[in-house]
Amino acid sequence: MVNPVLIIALPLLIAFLMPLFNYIHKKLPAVIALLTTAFNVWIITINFNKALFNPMVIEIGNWQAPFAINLYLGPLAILAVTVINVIALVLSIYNLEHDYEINDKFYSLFLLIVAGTSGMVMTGDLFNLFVFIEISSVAAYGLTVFSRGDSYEAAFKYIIMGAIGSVFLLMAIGFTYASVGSLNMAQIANSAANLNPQLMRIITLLFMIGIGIEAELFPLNLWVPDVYSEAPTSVTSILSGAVSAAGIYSLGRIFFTLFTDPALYTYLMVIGVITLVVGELVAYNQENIKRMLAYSSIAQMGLIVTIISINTSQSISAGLFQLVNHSILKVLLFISAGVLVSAAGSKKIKDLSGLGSKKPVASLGFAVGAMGILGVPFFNGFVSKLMLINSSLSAEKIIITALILFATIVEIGYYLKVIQKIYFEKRETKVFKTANVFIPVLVLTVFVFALGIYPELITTTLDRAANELLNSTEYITTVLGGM
Amino acid sequence: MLNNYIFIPIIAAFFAYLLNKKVKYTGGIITSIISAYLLYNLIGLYGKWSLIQTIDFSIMGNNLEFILGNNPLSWLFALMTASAGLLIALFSIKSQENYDLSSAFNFNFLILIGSIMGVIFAGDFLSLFIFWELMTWTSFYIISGGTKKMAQKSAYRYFVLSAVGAYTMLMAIIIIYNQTGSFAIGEAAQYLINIPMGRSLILMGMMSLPFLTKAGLFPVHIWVKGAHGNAPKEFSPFLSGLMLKVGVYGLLLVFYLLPFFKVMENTISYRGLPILSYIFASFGAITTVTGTILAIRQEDMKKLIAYSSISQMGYILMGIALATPLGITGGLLHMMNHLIFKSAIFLTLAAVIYRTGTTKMYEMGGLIFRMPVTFATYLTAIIALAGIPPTNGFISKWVIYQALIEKGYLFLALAAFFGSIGSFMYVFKPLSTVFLGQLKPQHEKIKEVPFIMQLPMYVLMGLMVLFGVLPGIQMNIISKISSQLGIKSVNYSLYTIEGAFGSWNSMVIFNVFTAGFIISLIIFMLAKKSKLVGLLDTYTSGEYMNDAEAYHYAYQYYRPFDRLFDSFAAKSLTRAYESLADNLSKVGNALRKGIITGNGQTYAYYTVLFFVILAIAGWII
Repeated sequence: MVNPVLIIALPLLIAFLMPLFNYIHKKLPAVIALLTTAFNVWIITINFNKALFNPMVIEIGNWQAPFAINLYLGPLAILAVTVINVIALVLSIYNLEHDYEINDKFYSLFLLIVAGTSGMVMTGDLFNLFVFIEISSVAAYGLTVFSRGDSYEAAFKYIIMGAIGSVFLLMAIGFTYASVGSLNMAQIANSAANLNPQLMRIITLLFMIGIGIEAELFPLNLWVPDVYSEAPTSVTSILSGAVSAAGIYSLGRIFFTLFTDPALYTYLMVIGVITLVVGELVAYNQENIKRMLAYSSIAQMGLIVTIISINTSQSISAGLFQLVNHSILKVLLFISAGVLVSAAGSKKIKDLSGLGSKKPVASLGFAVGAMGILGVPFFNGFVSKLMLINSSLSAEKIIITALILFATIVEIGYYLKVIQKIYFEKRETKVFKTANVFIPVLVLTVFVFALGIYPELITTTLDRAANELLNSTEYITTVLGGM
Repeated sequence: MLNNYIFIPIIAAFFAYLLNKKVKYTGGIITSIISAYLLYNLIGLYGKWSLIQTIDFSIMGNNLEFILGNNPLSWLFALMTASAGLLIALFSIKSQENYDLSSAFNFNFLILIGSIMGVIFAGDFLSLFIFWELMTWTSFYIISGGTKKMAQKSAYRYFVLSAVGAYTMLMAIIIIYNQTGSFAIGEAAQYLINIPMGRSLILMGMMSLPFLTKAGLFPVHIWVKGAHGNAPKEFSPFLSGLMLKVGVYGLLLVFYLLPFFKVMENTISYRGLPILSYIFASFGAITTVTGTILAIRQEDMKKLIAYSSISQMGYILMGIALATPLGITGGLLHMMNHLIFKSAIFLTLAAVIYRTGTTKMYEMGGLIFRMPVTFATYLTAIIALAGIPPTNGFISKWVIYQALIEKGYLFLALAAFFGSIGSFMYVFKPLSTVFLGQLKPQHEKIKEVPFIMQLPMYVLMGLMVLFGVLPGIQMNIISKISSQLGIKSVNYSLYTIEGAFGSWNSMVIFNVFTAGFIISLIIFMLAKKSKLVGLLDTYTSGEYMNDAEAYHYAYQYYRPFDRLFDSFAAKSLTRAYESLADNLSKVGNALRKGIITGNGQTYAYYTVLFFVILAIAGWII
């Protein structure tokens, strides 16, 4: 039995020791980062079943909730933390060999993001949530500029948005504390029913804006394309695969566990739909492959928010499955696209022609990722898409279904163009040398097909996670059980 | 077992890909062996109609079953798939020797065969949809691999149209699933007949959309020309001969096995045909006429035959939409025959492209003596297509005419006759411009294609004549299908079919033709030997001609006829669809330019504005 608090504590500790490791050997930080994330995955694996069926409440310093900060590791948190750490592990493998210059500071910040996002999903305390969001955002600002060039501008935009987001978040937390008198999530959830509904609505909106910046909701997501297209590949990947997933997770926590007001789901749904439509339509016209993927990422987040806001157990598990799939696929896409971009020496889609035979692994990775997003049978995206459609239709939201399918057709439009470009055109210009991404692509592809062919791997987790969100009393009694 | 038909090709695909990367020709050989194996097994499957297999599968938290079942309809389509696959694989062994993507072709082709088998044997809509998607994807990749410039754009168009159809179907499937809790076709049929008619019709209309698209029928036929014309030359026969028919399979499913016709039975009818069926049949008629007119205009031989496919699919739709014994018989007969003669035509064109490297008809001419087998196959196939005895095409068209005239559908019959006469015109165009006329100097050294490529042509030629003389062979299975679909079967024997106004005896006609052939052969033998004249050795009124091409009339062959329909052809559906896509991208651009300014301050402003708007909205609501 290893204490799950190490999932957060260890990367945090190692992050600050990185200069020391760097002093010992230049190659050491990369290996240490890999070992740390691997260790995290190991801790998660041994705690997985326990957290799934018997949620754990970890009280820091043995102070009981609600008096001290506590971590909560239930089905939803374990699902999110697994996704985050597995992606971090894959990206650490990817970081061993890379196309851009990185040093020990990069690994420090990388581990900080891992600690921050894991903390975001595990914490049971609102202010702690704020701290973890700040940790991961600050690390992300720093990581963005590692590719030099235009990335400074992108990072600057991100900082502005992030800072505004924190203000809103802090206001929300302040209001909450003022009205409930506690920062413990379970305590707040317990007494939310006594709150003034108008105040509650305002608080929730403030939260939505504060977290919506991480969760890539329109119009708070406009920093995304710049950052995603300029940041180094592994940073883009972790932002898209882990940070945004953690954002959605926190949104879910706030909207479902803390403040359950049916009117708010309509808000979420409308914003989700707008995010989806804008994301897809803008992505359709992109000439820059990384921007295209960024907008596609935005659209997917919109899709997930829309479907979760339908608020049935089917739709929430569908949304969460889509979130998991999206994390896997987008990381795969960004890694492959990163290699293709550096092989072509350009981010323009039209310059990627004919790389299929020159860079077979990355091209295949891209094709698998794209087909997964589009939902080809036997890819993971197919099962989740089926669940999305089924859940929205069984909730009689036929317009949402039609929108999802329309979005898929637009997606088909822009992804197929890239696939055709890569595989079916001849290449005349030269190809640059790039890093080898065989192992990350292989690992992610295995996940894609494993979830696509055998979705039972994850269905229990999804159902229990959806149940946790819909049924907040279980959360409250588990945390406050001692009282 | 039935799942073998699906999974053996899919597994073999990976081997074919890897081996073909190492050793040339192996991919084609593996594909041929697998198709032959499937064909052999399918023949053994004949008669085992109650075979049903289920594969347990769990998705969305509840257990589902993949249901695969064998019935005469599925069996016929599976047989057609396996045989078309075999012939094309044999042809492609040699014809792809210089094709870069041959490994990928064989990989996709085998998966395609497997997934078509899946579509055909599927007993539930979920597995049907899964294999349908797989089929679209693999065929998309194959078409994208075409060597022509437009191949990618055509494949893209094909895919997007197919996807729209497929997703519409998916919605209908899941709506039904949510009501019945089952994906099985039988239960869906039960459900659809019990709900209000309007709802049921909408659902079935949604379901038929992907099939209409895949069958290349009006108004979703626009992908056919590009995809057939630009696909790799070996794939066009399959695309036209077989994949269009998978759409027909789906239509049969919706019309008969789902109770489209049963639901329709008691609605307003026109001459005994429910009005909606009549509309479907009219779609067929429009398809026939449009396809014919556009085929006549084409200068590219593959696109010409592609339009011809559209027009022939119109006949098939007319046949099956009538739901009379003669109609269904004619539709199915024509479908089988179309597979045979259309793949023959596309194979001969592939052979011509293999040797000349062009598809523009006016760049060729006089290949008759250089490629005699190809010519003979083409000739037989166009005779069949134009519907002249003693080939198979005549019989199926005859039955369709009988079916149309029997009920007195004047408009439909006129369209059918128009298509038939038009088909004389357009099939003659490649014959005259490619095979007859003056040989181009650059084609002097052309030889007939290798034997392995001739083999499929011989087989198809044989089949065209065989089924032309003995349609009873086809009628065996068709009568079984008719009774499966709940339609009375027409009377037939090995070489007669009974129509509405008398019966057709192909043996008599065949004997007459044979006698005529022998008589003319005797006359030919007895007559004086003809004298060979050089190409330029003709009377030219004193002009000195040294360019043989001037004698070869090939460009804008039917210009006067085309002029009649110029205004018709200018109204392009394609453009209408494309303007949709254009508008979409315009909206996207406007959004990008209007909102996403790239300015950090603006974004910050948006954030605050967003909060204000939401708060106000919250206040009001």
